[in-house]
Amino acid sequence: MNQRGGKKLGKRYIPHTEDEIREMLNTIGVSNMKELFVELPSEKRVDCLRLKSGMAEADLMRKMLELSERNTNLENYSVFMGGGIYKHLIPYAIQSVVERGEFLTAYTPYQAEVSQGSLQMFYEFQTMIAELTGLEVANSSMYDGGTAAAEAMLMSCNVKRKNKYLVSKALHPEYIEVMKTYAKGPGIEIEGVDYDDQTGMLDLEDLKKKVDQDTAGVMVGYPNFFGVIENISRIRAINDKLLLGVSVNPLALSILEAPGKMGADIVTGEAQPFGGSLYLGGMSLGIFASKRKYIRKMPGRIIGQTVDEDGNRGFSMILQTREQHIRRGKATSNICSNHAHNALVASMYLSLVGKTGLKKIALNCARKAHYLAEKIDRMDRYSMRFNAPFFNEFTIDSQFDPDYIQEKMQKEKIMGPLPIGKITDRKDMQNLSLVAVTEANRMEEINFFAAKLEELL
Amino acid sequence: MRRDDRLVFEKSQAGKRGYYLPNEKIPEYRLNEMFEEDTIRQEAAGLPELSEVEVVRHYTNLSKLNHSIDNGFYPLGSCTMKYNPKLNETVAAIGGLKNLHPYQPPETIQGSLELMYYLQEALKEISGMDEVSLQPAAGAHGEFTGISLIRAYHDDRGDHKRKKVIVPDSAHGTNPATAAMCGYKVVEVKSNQNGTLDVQALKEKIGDDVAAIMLTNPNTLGLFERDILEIQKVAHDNGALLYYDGANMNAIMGKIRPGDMGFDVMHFNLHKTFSTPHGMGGPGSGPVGVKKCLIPFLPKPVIKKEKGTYNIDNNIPKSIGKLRTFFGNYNVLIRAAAYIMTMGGDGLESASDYAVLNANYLRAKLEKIFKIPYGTKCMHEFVADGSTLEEYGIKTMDLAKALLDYGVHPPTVYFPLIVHEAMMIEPTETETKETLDYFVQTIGKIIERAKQDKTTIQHAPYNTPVRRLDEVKANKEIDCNFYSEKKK
Repeated sequence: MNQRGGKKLGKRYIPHTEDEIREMLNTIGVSNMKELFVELPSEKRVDCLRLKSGMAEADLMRKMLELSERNTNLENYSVFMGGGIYKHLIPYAIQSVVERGEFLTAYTPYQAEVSQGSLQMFYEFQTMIAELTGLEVANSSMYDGGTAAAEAMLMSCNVKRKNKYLVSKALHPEYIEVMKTYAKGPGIEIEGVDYDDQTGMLDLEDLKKKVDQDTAGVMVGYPNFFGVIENISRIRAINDKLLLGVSVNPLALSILEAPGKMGADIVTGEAQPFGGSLYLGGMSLGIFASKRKYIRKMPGRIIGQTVDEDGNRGFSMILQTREQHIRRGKATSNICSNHAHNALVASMYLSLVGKTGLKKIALNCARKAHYLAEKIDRMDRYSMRFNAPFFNEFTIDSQFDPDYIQEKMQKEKIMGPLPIGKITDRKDMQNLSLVAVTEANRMEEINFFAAKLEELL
Repeated sequence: MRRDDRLVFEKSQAGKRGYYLPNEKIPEYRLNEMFEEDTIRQEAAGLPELSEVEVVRHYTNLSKLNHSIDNGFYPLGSCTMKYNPKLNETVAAIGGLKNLHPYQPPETIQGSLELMYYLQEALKEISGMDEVSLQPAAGAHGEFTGISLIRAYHDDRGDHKRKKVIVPDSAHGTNPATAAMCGYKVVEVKSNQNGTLDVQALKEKIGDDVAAIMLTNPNTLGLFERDILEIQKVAHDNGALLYYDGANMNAIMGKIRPGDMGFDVMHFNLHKTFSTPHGMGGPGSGPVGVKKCLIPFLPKPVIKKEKGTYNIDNNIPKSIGKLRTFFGNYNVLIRAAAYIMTMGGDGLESASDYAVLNANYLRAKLEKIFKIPYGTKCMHEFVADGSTLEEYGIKTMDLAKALLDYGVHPPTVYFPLIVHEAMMIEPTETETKETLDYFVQTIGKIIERAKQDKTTIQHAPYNTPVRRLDEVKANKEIDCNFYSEKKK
């Protein structure tokens, strides 16, 4: 017996009238809907789904607001927590434009003639990413910084036809974990390269030692997980055959030299700082750029400029023979859906803040971070863990349990800093915290945070 | 007036800005006080310089060049272009759901963890699987997860001889791409004359060297794999696991569940079945559902509920590892959870009812125009053979392009590969009968026009922002970066 009994089917978002349904069934030549499902083996059919009945929108909104109230909303918090995802200021002009249905409810631009909005935007996005990274070609997005780094590893091993890959131990720990997951299928051997205990920068001697004839490439962070700025030129100078991959915070690239100009072959990164909301790190945007000569080995969608039948400018997907829908088992990656809409947000962000604005924002972050770092370093029970240059994030060593700091700070409506021990299992990091500063942190917040840190003494 | 097709860079004028930081006095550290001299940027990145109004107009005008679900019919087969409720956008914008840092302590995100836990539980019920991970960022990422889980399962049993994954010749391109990415050799099995998997052919290819069989059911022809129970027996008798590609789940909600059909692992496409917007190609979300035997290998982290509190568990010794950073595409998960709550169990079932009704109605109408090579009915989609069009001197691609002039997005064309001049049509449940009738009439009109003068159709479209593009040029003289072309 159908547990639904005589209850009327819910019909949310279904526009049919009863008359239309009858007419349609007639056209099909069946007397009821059930006849459309006769192919399904009856012994395995379910009567109904044990889910609650549908909610009216007013009730749904009430339920969601209730849930939201059980979260600590960081909108009015001072956030000094980073680790790959940052609270930046987001220009208000972005939201109402990007949520236009023409952007939000379009599919992958398979029919170029009616997708020129998406395609031109992607082309512009690719150009912006290429400019920032100092490389010639960029794709139109990956899922996040972690998977972009993993794809760079796959591509490097594919280009070099080698199966060993080096990763800086100072790269974001979650990125390293993602890379390890991706390495299993093709049987890539990942080896960690140490960082210098004083500077936090890649240990160049260790790199030299670990490169052998099977090594395809190496991936370093710029800045790395500890906030430290690696010197890409010096890494490049160690070995000119390795494919040098650099995982970036692209915001930093408005004031730091482009990795492509310092010898990087592939640049990946997390572009959430470009207008992305926090969303528990879910609104991520992977970027991927490479030297032109490797374009045929790149993963993901690439958009190119061409002309239409009338000779007018137009854009279309190119090199689709790399992609899964054409190449199937021989594709460079299985990626299909990507983070296109987040790329739109980033494009609009970069267009609004522009060439000089992005530099101002990055400089604002860096200056405030250096101001705070100096303040903290002067305090008795805190010290800077590393002495190399940093961008907007730095690692501090405290005589307190970082969890205690975090807990106390929350009472002051401050979120952060990030206890590093939480995301690595390394015993020697249990007293380390990562402090992130952005332009969203006003000077008075920074002073207040510093004062509260000192009060913990 | 011809539209302004200038790029954002071509509209740029030095000195313009569209955003201003708050006015505050900050310490003026110089770049060379903060950074090593040789790591300071020498030449500014070529970003545009525009005022706010120009940026808003640029992107608004770009949006107008797109077809979207909000503009009109989008019967793209296997993509489930159903209406994306506006309500869910409003829900996802709630500040307390949005402004959350991934490393915030779990006790400060209990509402969101509950929301994700709810979604996991709902997907378990809908699919009949025993556990769900919300981590994967897209369908293909879900497939990657699923096949990685299968490898971990075999490895854990010390069964290292399984090097092959079987996919039907009608499979989505991501299936073989995923299997290859996970280090497996892809073996194709032909479809039989009914358009379903040939069980005899499967039996010939299966063996103790096969790790998994990947299927979608209904398959890409829109046909239910009737022999599924026998297929699952063949797979399991030979020690292989059965993977369900959830791309076509919109046909079967509340009717039959992959878990009950014998599938061991599957992915969901929240951006298809559960109405989250496709956003020009993403972000989607591809949660994975598994049977008990695969739970120990699930990706990290797993969200758990203990004594009314939600926790994030990263301590999973046999886990395949992390698939991406943080918690998956949480912003997409919110929308899918809102959709499931709005629909309820009965609402989801009726979504499948009407998706199948709409597809069969279109099928019945179009059968008078095209050959539909397989089946007499269909599930949520069907594939028509466009070779009838050759009589009028046009091809499937010409019809597709001509449809654009009528404000209709064409079906998926030339896929699946096993149908000549294929058109894969999936109307979804949210389309009106009026829209479906318009689609049929429009196809009729285009054919009439082709009969009069085929060249006009061969050169369609005419009313779109651009006309047919020179793809040969696009691929030969690669220009994917505004500046590098100018510098040349």
